[in-house]
Parts: sequence; structure tokens; C-alpha cells
Amino acid sequence: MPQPSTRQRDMITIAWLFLGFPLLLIGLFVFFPIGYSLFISFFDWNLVTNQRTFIGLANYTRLFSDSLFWKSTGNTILYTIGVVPIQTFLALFLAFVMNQKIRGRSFFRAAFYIPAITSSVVTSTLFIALFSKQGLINQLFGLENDWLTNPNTAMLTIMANNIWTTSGYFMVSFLAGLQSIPNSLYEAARIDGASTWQQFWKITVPMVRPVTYFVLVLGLIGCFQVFDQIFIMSAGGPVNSTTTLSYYVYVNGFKYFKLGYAAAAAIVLAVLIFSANQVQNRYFKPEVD
Amino acid sequence: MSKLTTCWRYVLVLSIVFTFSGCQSTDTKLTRLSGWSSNPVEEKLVAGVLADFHREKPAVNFKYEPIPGNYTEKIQLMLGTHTAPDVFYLRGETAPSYMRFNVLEPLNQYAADTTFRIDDFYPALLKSFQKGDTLYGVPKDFNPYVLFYNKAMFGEAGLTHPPQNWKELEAFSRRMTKDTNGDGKPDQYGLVLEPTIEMIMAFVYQNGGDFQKEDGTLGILDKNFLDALEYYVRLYRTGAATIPSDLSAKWNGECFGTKKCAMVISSGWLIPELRTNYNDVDWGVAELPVGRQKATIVFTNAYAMPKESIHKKDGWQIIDYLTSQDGLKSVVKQGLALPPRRSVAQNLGLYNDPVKRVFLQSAEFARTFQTTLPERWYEEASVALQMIYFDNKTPREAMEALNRQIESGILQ
Amino acid sequence: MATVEIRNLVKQYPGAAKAAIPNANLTIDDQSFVVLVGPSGCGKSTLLRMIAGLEEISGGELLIDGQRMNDLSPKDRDIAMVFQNYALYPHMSVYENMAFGLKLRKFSKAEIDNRVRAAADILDMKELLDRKPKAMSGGQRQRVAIGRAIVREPKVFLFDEPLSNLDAKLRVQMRVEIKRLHQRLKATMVYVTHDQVEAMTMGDKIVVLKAGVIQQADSPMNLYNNPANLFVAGFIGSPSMNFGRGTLVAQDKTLRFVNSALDFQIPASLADTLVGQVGKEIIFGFRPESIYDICFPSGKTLTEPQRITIDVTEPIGSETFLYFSLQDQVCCMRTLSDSQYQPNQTIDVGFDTERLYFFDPQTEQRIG
Repeated sequence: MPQPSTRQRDMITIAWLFLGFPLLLIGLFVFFPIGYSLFISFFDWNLVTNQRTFIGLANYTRLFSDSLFWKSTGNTILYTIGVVPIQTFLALFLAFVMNQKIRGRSFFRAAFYIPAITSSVVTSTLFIALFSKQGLINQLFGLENDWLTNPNTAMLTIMANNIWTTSGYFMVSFLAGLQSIPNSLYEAARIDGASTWQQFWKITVPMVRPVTYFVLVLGLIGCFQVFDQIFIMSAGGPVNSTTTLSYYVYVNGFKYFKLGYAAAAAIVLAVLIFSANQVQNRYFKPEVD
Repeated sequence: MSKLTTCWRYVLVLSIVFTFSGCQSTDTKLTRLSGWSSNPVEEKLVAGVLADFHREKPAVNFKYEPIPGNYTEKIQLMLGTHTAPDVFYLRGETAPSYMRFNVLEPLNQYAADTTFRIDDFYPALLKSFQKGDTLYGVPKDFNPYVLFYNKAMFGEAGLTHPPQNWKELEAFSRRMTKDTNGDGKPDQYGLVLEPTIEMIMAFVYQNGGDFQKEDGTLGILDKNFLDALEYYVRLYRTGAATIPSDLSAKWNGECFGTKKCAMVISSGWLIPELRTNYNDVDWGVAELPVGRQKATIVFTNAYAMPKESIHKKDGWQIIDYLTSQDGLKSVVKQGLALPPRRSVAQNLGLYNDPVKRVFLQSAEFARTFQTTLPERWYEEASVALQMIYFDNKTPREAMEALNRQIESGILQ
Repeated sequence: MATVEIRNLVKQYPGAAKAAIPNANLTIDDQSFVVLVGPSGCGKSTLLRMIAGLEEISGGELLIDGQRMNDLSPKDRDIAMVFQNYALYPHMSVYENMAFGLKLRKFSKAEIDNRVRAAADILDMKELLDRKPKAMSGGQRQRVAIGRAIVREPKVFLFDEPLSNLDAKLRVQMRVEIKRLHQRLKATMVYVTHDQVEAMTMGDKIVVLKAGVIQQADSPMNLYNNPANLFVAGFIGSPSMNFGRGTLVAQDKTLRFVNSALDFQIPASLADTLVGQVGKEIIFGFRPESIYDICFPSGKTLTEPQRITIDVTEPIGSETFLYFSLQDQVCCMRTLSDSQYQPNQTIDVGFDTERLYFFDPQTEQRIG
């Protein structure tokens, strides 16, 4: 292979300079913490005294014998199973509706998207008020439930909050996908005899499959890591019904000062997310057109 | 090398420098004092007191660095990364952990100085920061649970004095729980209680029980504990009292301020709220109604020094001044806190104020609520209470579950 | 029976100043092949889509087989449409694409299979049934689109510029196939195109549209030989008709057409019709094949010779086009391929007196 010319060498150097800085940042703030977390999960490390003792896999065995760990894992999985399908379908449905020519379309598009970009503190506070004993939800449906203090409904409230905020975000992704579907396909379907509902299922849904995959993957990863809303709305309660794995990690690390143990739980969470994603890839990935 | 590449190398170097300049460096020559800052008024006062200190002891070079925001998290991290301030505020709630981890400097030798007059402090406050006989923090202020009551609502119900004992507490509360608009549900309650372990412990102590006994074993299944807990829960379950979430309120102070409840167990932090947001409430304070004995819970904060500080002598000078009469008087005069020293309270005439007198007298029989259990015990206790209030378990069932959890060693 | 009748049809877009189609009247006979042709934006697709039911009818009536279709949805009109971009469902195989409409109408599996295979047979697509659209060429996709229409056995077939996306050679081939299909199925077909050659070769009846107005609806030869107005005359025929402005002058007992480049006598057959235009401005039109070099015998009666200078010669193989200017207008003349004309050569030419066209400059209508 001929030696690259000076100009080519310059280009390569410049390319590395451009890449270098972001690589440094990502390495420092993403890859290093992940690797380090794995490292400290084998230690007993007190956050306040800063003393470290190597204990091998003891953190992991302790983890698997804590019933709260299993409850958190169960809560996390339940939460994900509840939120991901509903939020995906709702986002697609909203996008489909928002793609039709109806009055006030721009207003509705903004209205559905704004929760997605509103701070989670704001939306959580809003939902606390909505779902309180004398809040709007109870008034509308004539109920008397205190949603967030009832172990059976607290998780539902948090799921509702997340579905409401994240659907808007994914609606935008679906809208983009929808707009790449040529209108003539729908016209051909109309002539073939499809009702609007049938058009939705037989044309829209199959054709946005790549976007659906994207939304499912992001949704899954996000749901496994849900934290903000739980921290603000329920602090993991009542009776640990809303403690998810990420909240369990936080509490163990920063309230009980057991950094190594928390890191172990975090590694378990990471493995869980990775496995779930592999399953998704195997069975749900659409072929590249 | 071409000019272009040279130029980009400068850019790269500059950006790296720029990034790392964001890192802080600590100046180790000064004695650093840190605390939380709740509001600008308080900050100004503290700055004023420190200026007085500087005039008195100009030899001490110090710097005041208040921490805005999440104080506890920041101090923990600073302790962990060996960058903690030389003097910092220590919360009564986190004191047991820090004492257990041995990160604080024992202060006995400094406090032994007779001019310091350690016995001038209310005993309950010192106890909060003692492990065995070693003192780790000097109390700076305190707040005990007292009973606030709405004088107007009492008058309406024909009651002339606040309840003196548990029987009266229940009876008065029932009398003032009314359905005013005839929809079958009460709109006004006599008492609002919070389902927190601290508030319950006031009653437990009055009944002669304890969460963790002197020998370290749990007392939560003892009769004295369970009876008190059952009394407390019964008030709520039989409709004599309510909890804030039932009224869609964020805390019990809101229920009292909006006149939905005639009585509330609270402390000094409620007073500014009443004065600013709910100033049409005609309120009074009284000591908590008495059980078998007088008892209440006190919340306190202290000044502490980290064990690895290199400015301990100077740090002590600061602590000494801040807890002396000179150091305390401006904050106390503003009504922002109660002094930890009995003599200061007397000298500044606080016992003459009807409201403050109740607080100060409560300090004499107050107790701190701490355990020597690993940190997770608090969350487990909260879960046990949630089981009672939100999952319909009986107090005995919940305490048995809590006992099992703690005994199982899962807290380690 | 599948006749289509359009009576006083109006298409007005809300907020538009003018109606896209102000008033259309048209009859499409059963089993006929009718072509809607015109330049872009003339409303031909709009008209087709109104027949399909994809556009709302603002006024007037649409009847298929005597039944009013205005308010019926596309699926109830018993029509099938072939789109310009084929509109095949990309995620379905060819078989599924063709079966889709039948499945929705709850046909039995056996019936669906029959029809699909029959259509595949007609279009010679049997091996393609399992393929997906993305694995096929443009021509194959177009055939699938047509197949999807065939299986429905509709009353009316609608084609919306189906061949525009194909290359020239394939277009010619498909034209023939569609015509053959029409003969075989004996169905009513309405075909939209902007290409007048395609229109001429395919239609039984051609409807020329401009700006939403039907200019003329007639057989191809009639449109060619007897255009009703200036637009139709210039639109139909390639190369198009040549035009020139001039005045009608009376001289002795004859009429003459005069302008700065031409001066010839109007034949007696036209003189009577044109007599009312004496002294007025008039537009003269002639087709490139109606002008002859007087040096060669043409076998036609020609006007007096006119002198022209050739600008450019364009030999296309089968013949040669000569371009010359008349009054700054470029005109075209067809001549035999072995003629040896040179640029800047002057020749004398005469017009075939039986193929002279005259138009009123204001109304653009044909007057002679």
C-alpha cells in the first residue's frame, strides 16, 4: 500500500482530533464508570468512611438472598410489561390521528408533545395532585381512593405518569415514520375496501415496523431504568410496591452507604436490560429494506 | 506539519484545559466552615455572627462555605472523598451513622474546658451526639414536638384548655371531628397525625416503651410499645384523627393551617408557616398530652469536626463562639431557633414568652430517637407503618414483620 | 353494462378563487377505452379521482350504470384503480397484494385463488406470485398493480398515468399490452395521461382538457383532422401544428390570407365560411406534413408557392424535419429522409389546400 500523502496524513490527524475529544468525554463519563462499577461490585465499600475491602461475590449472594431485591426486580419487570406496550400503541395511535387533516392539528401535536419535554419533577408533582384523595381523578370518577398510598394502585399511578409523558415523545418518531408512507397506499386500500381501522392495521402498522422496533427498544431500556418519578412520587413505597431496581440501587448506595452492594445491583440491572434487548433483537428486529 | 494541524492541536489542548478547569481545588490553609442555608435572612445573620467572631479572634483564618441544595448528600460525598469542611452542621438523624463509621472527631477533650460549661446544655440534646460517653457534636439548636391547637375551634366546642392526657386527647379530638356539610363524611377533624415513626415514638416513650432497649435488643414487640402504637393507630382507624394524605395535604401543618384540624403535633418549623401563610389561625401551643410519663421527641443539629481535619484547634474556636451566648443571641433574638444552652434561654428572657416557654420546658423531658442499627432500619420501619396505614395490617402484624426483617440480618 | 356519465360536474377546492373543474359533461360508453389527456394541472387526474371517489364532488352528478355515485365511498363504486407509482403494499407478496381487496370483501379462499391465478395468467406473472414488490422491476410492479385491479372484476377500470414512471421502450410495450387487455376483458376503461402520443394510440375516445375545461371529446382521427380550437390543434400531433397570424383580405372575388411572410388564396371550400372575417385578424394553422416543396410532385392541390429559408435540418432517420421561421415563429416541415436540404437554403413551398386551418384570435375557436 502506498504511503499516504502529507495531505492525507493531515486529514487523518484532523479526523482523530475531531474524534478525540468526544471519545475522551464518552470514555471518561460513560465507559469508565461502567467498568468501575463492575470493579467495585466485588468490594464492600462504605461511602462515608471510604474504606474498601475485597469480598469477591459476597455482594451478589447477599443480593439474591434479599427479598426486597427480588421484589424490586419483579416490580421493574411488571412496570416494563405494563408501560411499554401501552405507550408504544398509544404513541402510534396518536401519530396516526395527528397525521389526518383535522382541525387544530398543530395545537394537538404540541399538546401531546409538551409533557415529554417537561421536567419530570413538574409532571410528578402534577400527578401527585391529580391522584390525591381529593384530586381531579377521584372527582371525575366518583372514587375515594388515595392512589399513591394504596399498595395496589401506587404503581399504576406511576405507570400512568410515564405513559402520558413518554407517548408524546414517541409520537413524534411515529409521525415521521407515518409521513414516509405514500398517500397512494391508503387510497389503494380505500378502493380495495379497507375501513380506516383496517387501513391502520394492515398498512400503517406493518409499514412503521422499523420505527416500532426503535420505540420498543428505547421504551424497554427507559422503563428498566425508571427512577425520577419513583423518587419524587412514592419513595419506593407504600410497602415497597413501587421500589424498582434503579431505586433499590440508589437507596443502598446513598442512604445505606453500601456502594459496592449498590454497584452489584446495578450490574444485575445492566445484565437484565442487555438480555431483554437481545431477545428483542432476535425476535422483533425488522429486516433492513 | 501543516498550519492546519498545528491549529487544531491548540484547539484540542485548550478544550482539555477548559474541561479540567471545572474541577475544584480545596485551599487547605483556611479553616472551612460549612452548613446548609435555608433562607437569605438566616444566611445574613450567620455571616454577621461570623464577622463578630472574626473581630474577637482575628488569629483564626476561616472561610464560610454554605452548601445550597442537597446538604446531606454533599457532606457524605465530601467525607468520602476526604474534602470535608473542618466544621460542619451535623443532623441528629445522620449522627448515628457518622458516629458508627468513626469519621467524626471526639470532642470530650475540648468540651472539658470549664469555661465551655458543657452541663449548661439541655441533656437530651447532648445525648443525640454521644456514643457511649464520647461526645461528637455540640448542639446548635433544637425543636421538640409540642401540641399546637386552634383556640377558636376549641372555643366552639366548649373546651377551655388543651388536652392533658391520652384520654382527653382522644375525647377532645372526637368532639371536634364534625361533618359540617352533611355529606356523611367528616370535614373537620380534631387531630391530624403523621404515620411516621418519630411521632409514634413520642407516645411510645410516654408509655415507657422503646424501639431499641439499652441492651441493644428490639423492644417493638413489648407490651409498652404495642399498646402505645395501638392507641395511636386506633385514633386514626376510629375516625378521631386523620392523616395528611387523606385530606390531600402534603404535611400535617397544611391541615392545621387550613383549619381542617383543631390539633396537630408539630414543632418550631410550623410557626413561620402559620405566620406567613395561615395567619388567620388563632393558635396556641402546649406540651404533649402525658401518658404514663412525660416525654416528647426532640430534633436537633450540632456542629461537628471530621476526624481527619487538620484545623481542629481553630475549628473548636469557631464552635465555641457559635455556641456561646454571644454567638447565639442574634439568631435566637430573631426567633429563628431555640438556644441549646439553658442559661442563654434564661438570660435572653425566652422563658417569659408563652410560646417559647412551652418549647423550652419540653426540652427538659425530651428524648432523642436514635438506634444503633444499620441504616436500612429506618426504611424497614417506614414500610412496617405503611403496612398498617395503607395495607390494613394490625400493629402487631406489622411489628412482627419488622422484627423478622431486622432479626434476619438483612440490614447488614 | 358499465357506462359512466358525468353531468355538470364541478370541483371547487375550499378557499380557491376559481373552480378547478367548473362544469364537465362527458359520457363514457360501456366497454370503451376513454383517455383523458392534457397538460399538467389541467384537471384530468382530478376528474379521474372524482370518478374513483378519492376526491369529493362539489357539484353535478356522477352516474355509473345510471346510479348516482356522488355520495358513495370508493369501495362501493365497483371501480378499480391503477396508480402512477403502483401503490403496491410493500410488506405483502404479489399474491397477497392482489388478494387484499378480495379478502376484505370476504371472498372464499378458493375464489380468491382462482381469480389471482387467472389474473397472473393473463399478465404472464405466474412465477412472481411469491415475490415482494421491492424485488421486482418497474414493469413487473406495474403488472401487479394491473393484476390487483383485474381480480376485482370491476365495472370500470381507472388508470392514473400508469406508464409515466417507465422508460420509453417499456412504455411502448406496456401500451400494447394494456390495449390487448382491454380487448380481452372487454371492460370500460378510463385512462389518464399527459402524453398525447399515448392518448392517440390507445383511446377509442380522447378527452382533451385544459384548465379544468373539456376542450374536445372525440375519436383520435377526428381530433387530429378536425380540432375544435387552437389548443386542441396545437396539442394533438407531433410535431405540433404550425401557426401564424395574419389578416383576411378580399381581392376581386377571392379571399386571401396575408401576413409579412405569406400571401395565398383561400380555397373556395373555405371561402364561404370565412367571408365574415374579411378585414379581421386571423390565425392560420398547418401541419408539418401539409407543406410541400413545389419541386417535387405531391399529388395534392397546393396554394401559391411561398418562399421560405431553412434554418435547421433534423434528420431523424425515417424522415427529416426542416425548421424555418415565419414571422419569427419557428415552423416545422416534414420531408423525405433522402432529401438533400441545407441550412440557409431557400425553397418554395405550398400548403395542401385541403388541410388548412383557421382560428379566431379572440375565441381561439376554429372557424375554417
